[in-house]
Amino acid sequence: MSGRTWSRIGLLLAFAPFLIFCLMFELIPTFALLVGSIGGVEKHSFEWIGKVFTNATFQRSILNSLLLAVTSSFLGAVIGTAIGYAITRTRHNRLRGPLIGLASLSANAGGISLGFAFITILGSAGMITILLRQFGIDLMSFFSIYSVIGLIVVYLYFQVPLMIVLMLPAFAALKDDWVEASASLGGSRTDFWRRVGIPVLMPSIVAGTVLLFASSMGAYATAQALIGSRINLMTIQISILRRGEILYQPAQADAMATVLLAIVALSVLAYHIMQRQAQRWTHA
Amino acid sequence: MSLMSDAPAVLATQQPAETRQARRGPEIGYLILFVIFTGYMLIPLIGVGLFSVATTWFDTVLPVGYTVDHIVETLNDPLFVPTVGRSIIASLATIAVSVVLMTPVMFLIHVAAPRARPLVEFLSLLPFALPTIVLALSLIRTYSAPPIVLSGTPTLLILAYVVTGLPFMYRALDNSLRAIDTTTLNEASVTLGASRWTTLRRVILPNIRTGIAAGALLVFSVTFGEFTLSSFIVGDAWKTSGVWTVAIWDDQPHKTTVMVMIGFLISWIISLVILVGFSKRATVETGQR
Repeated sequence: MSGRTWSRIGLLLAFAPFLIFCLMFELIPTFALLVGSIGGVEKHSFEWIGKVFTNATFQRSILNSLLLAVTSSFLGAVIGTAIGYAITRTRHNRLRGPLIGLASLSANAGGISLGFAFITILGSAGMITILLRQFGIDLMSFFSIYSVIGLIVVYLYFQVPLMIVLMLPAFAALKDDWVEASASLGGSRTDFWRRVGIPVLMPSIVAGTVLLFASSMGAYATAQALIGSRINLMTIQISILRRGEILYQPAQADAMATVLLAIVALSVLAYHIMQRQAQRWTHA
Repeated sequence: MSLMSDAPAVLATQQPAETRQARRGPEIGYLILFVIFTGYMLIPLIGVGLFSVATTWFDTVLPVGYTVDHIVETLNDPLFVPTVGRSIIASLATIAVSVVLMTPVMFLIHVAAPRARPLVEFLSLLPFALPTIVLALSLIRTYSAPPIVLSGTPTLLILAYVVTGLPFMYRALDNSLRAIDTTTLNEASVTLGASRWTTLRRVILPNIRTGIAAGALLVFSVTFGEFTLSSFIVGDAWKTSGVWTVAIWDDQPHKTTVMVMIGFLISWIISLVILVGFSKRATVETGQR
């Protein structure tokens, strides 16, 4: 290394501000939340955690959130993978840049803006709702933007581009030599996909799907802007319990948040494990 | 990417007739996918954009008339300047804290303490596993009782923003430190007799300016107009533009859509700046990996 090496103490001092920050604003608060969910260390009780799974309203919120997250991440993954493949494979090279730009731009979308934007097109006086009405189709009779299905449509707005962005490196790693190698060994296109293509892409697809799942489980602002408290989701339930004009139950909110944290953290962990698998190919 | 664009040519020389026919089919499919995708990404923007300039619009496909009144009214609203001002202050403060906090650490894991990388990476990417509403609750719980009471203050909001910005700063700084071959630069500088501080300030920092700028812009676009953290941590006590935008929806939806458009415009401009302004740097970064 360099002529002057860093002393242990020097290094520790240089790292200190960052480590103290993370301790104070990531680790301790998370720990405090876990403690809060059992009502404190001294008079601890698993009553609130238990209630998350036994109370009918809370159960429903978990089911709704899971339904929303599973469906939107599955659809987002399938559509995003297809479009990512199309972007990689198209002969229209000039389209590639703008499409990748559009995808990376929208992958970070979300928040309240997205909720309001969708109301203006799919709400009861929305542009598309009225357009369809002129063709004699009453959208509101079978679809509402203020429902779990409506939320799926809205969440796909960031799920699909996110999946595209996540899949592009995987498709780029699928070397053309492998297609040739497979063909010269007598393999058909189906053989190539079954024996080479899919196995190489699978870790990336699974990793992406899991990440979409996590992002949709934890989303709050979009849902709040769109539906207020009309749909019973985990994040909405947490906010009701915490703000509590009707029922202020901070320990119950902490318990619900702890369960949500466990689900999301496990998903992100699974994502990293799958991603490591995928990197065998993308970093090759 | 470039490998991929050559793919059809390579395949065509292999099996000319069959492949060329097989290729035409998918190409139409690809274009259909692109049209649907682009439409899906743009129509909500068009909807909210039209609503923000519409006079009356409830039973026609397109607005009856157009006006800039909503925009003027929004900009003249007594709450516009304070709320947007607070959001800008919070975002800029977040950027300042993030840069000061992260730059030395990232420099060190590149030159002096590579063994600390897994820890720094874990702590920086942890916010990805922390849903925003969970972060909000945990911070309120921790800082609303002594010894440290910060709940309800902009300080806690800014520190929460720093947490959510960590992954973005980490990636941006890590990429640019990789791209400039920090280890070699550092050794060269130290061999020439420069102190560590001088090396960081005179050699490394000027070279990673674009990385810092890209990280800062990303942090700005995730924090400006943010709703969840500001509504839980400061709420109406220090109303940010995000909280105001939601609050006026029921009574003045047109103003809300003007605010939404402003938010979209800011994030589009920032993304374009990053894509166009830093794309050369970005290709170097991926190339060096």
